[in-house]
Amino acid sequence: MENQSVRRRDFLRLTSLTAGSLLVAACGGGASTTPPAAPTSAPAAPTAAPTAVPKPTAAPAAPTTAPAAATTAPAAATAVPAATTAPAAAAAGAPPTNTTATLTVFDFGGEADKKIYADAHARFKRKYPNVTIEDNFVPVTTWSEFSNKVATDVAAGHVPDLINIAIEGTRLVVKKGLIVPLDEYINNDPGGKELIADVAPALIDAFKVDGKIWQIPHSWNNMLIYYNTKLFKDANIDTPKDTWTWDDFLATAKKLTTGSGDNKIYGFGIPFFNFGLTPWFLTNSTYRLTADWTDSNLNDPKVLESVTFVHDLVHVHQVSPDVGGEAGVDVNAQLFAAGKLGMSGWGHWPIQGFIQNNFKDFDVQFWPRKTAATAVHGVGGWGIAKDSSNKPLAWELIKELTSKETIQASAEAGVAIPARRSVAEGADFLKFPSNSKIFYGSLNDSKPVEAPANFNELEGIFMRYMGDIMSDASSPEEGLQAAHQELKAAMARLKTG
Amino acid sequence: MAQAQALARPGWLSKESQREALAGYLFILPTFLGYTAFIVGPILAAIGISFTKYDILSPATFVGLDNYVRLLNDPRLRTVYSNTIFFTVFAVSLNVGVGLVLAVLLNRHLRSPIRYVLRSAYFFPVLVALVYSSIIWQFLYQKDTGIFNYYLGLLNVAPIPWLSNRQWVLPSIIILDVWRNAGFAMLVFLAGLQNISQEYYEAAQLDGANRFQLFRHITVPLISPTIFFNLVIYMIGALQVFDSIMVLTKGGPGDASRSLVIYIYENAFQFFEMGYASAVAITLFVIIVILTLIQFRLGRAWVHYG
Repeated sequence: MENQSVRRRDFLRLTSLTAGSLLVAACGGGASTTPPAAPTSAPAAPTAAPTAVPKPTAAPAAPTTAPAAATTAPAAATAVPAATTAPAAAAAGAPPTNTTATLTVFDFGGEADKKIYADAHARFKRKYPNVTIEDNFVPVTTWSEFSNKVATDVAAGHVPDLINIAIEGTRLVVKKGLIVPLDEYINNDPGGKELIADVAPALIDAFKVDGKIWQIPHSWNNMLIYYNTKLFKDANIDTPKDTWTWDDFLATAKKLTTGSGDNKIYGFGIPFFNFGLTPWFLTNSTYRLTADWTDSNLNDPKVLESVTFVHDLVHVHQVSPDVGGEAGVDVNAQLFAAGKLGMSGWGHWPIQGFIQNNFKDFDVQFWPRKTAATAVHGVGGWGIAKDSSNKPLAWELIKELTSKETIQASAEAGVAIPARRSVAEGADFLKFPSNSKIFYGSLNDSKPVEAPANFNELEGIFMRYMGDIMSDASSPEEGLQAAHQELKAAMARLKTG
Repeated sequence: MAQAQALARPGWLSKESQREALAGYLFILPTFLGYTAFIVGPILAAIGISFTKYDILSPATFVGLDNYVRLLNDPRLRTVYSNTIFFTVFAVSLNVGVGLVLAVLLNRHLRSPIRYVLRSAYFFPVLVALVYSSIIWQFLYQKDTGIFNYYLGLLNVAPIPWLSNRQWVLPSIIILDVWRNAGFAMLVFLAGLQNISQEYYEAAQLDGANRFQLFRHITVPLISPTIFFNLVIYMIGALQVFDSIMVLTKGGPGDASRSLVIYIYENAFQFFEMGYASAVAITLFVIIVILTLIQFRLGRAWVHYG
């Protein structure tokens, strides 16, 4: 095999990227570099935060309705004329503005999120000056990190009024009866209807369980192909089209894979985390769970086809570098910014990091398709705790936290994709990269990441066996068969538990 | 006897003695309270939880010995135990061995600036948070893009799958661990070495002892308490290895680098199986206690306290 490596100059650059982000992290956060929260999306490696470009972690979640994301929810959108209603004024049933109370909030994210939430709280307090907001902000960027904190706080009897939950946690907290449905608040409040009308139905559906809406989305993420425009231009390769196929993708990756030693460039860096691998299934018209999310679907031949394709990128076609285990940091982001990867996959979260490191030679495209053009999405949203004694007030705060002003600020921070269409399709969000319209556009045909109540177990099983498969410790057939048996048992326990 | 008691009693009961006793108890009270609240309490709680099914979000239900029966039938637990023992044996041996060698080399008559620079250099990794070190090493360890394989490639060595191969992953983590922790052992050994009087060496040299004999028959016996201390401390630390693995591999590929503590963490805080996680933790606790007692027992044979 060829000796693939980075030049010392590249290494220094990578190191400085990392070191810079470490410094930022060490200083408490790095507003800029670490992204905030896109809930779901971003995976996270627990430790991942410190890299310049954060990565998603864990990911995600899912919906409830399985396949049907797009079908279920449309009603809300059509029912309310969107732009007509007015904003955030307190609804008819809203608590009086002289209400005295304390609202406890559980939320998480990067430094940018913290400031955005603090500003939203300040605006809320202008309406409700006698309300005290206790913000239990946890500086982590992924739900899987945050969920530990939530669980232990709840176990200790610290129940919040308002809680920020990524979709991977939704079914768990619903199952445990920790939050209440929000349909009544939405339906009885013009502000709620306005909000719902401005959010893509697929995002609302992601928070529907048993036909009820349990959370209000604030931001979300998906997976798109990022490609290095300079490398494409230098190699005289056509940029990907929105209808490109796996075959097109592989041919492109092969063309991009050139050189050796110091000059080695790989065609594609595999996003090796649960959420990042999801598009390979959806674009092949399959998924890891059955449509109702109650059983394993890992024995589907299409799943095997998808996993084999990913495996072969490294071991047969050699267009992707070794994935190096389930890394805690986003090696791909560093390599991509250093011009060592022609393509890789992320949601919206690495863009700010790239820009801050003066890397702008990239654009985004839809994932290549095998038999379908279906994208994946993971969503973060606000829910109201069942044990809250200030639910109407908490609802008013949700409206502020999902107001255009707050979502606009979130969009400017740049990590996640705004839940509100009006913001995501605004000039600020679309200014870079040039094809940014497809971030929100991917929702036209998208499914939420699979997130049953035992999401963490699903993720753990899948990634454990994917590690074996990608390291050739087992073949895709053997690995998936073993993973299927284990996941099947886990899903059976979920039914009985 | 009775006379002695009669003499002692007034002193023991004197107000001054009582005050001294009270002061003593007050001095140890904070430590006692802390130890009880943060060590004994959690251990007792873990023992209690290990007999329950508890997911944190719902009330616990008593399940008797179910979790312990599950321990016996969990093939993954055998794997993580095997990984942890492998890691412990090699990480402890190498950390203590390398630390001792470095300390002996640096205890020689080097010029002060050189000595200070070298000591600082070897100890420096201890000062850097392990998570950050691990992130850097993750880049170094990449099979196709890492700097280690780049330089090995210049020597015509084929790329090593440091983190993505079942056979290589634990040795890779051990290498990082030794790089990071051997400096601490070195520091402790240096302190031990500097307590050895030069007279012993001079006397032995007059008797014709060579360097190895000096090391074997003077240095090792006289720093045996230090060696023992390092062995105990490093063994306990190695059995609890967590951070570096979480950053480098998250336990993968497969379960190839999953340690016991990572397994406990995953069961407790990712799968919310607090009962089973507690049962596994209890086994680790018992094993650490037993191994430490064995070390103390064996230590009587080879550790020489002044």
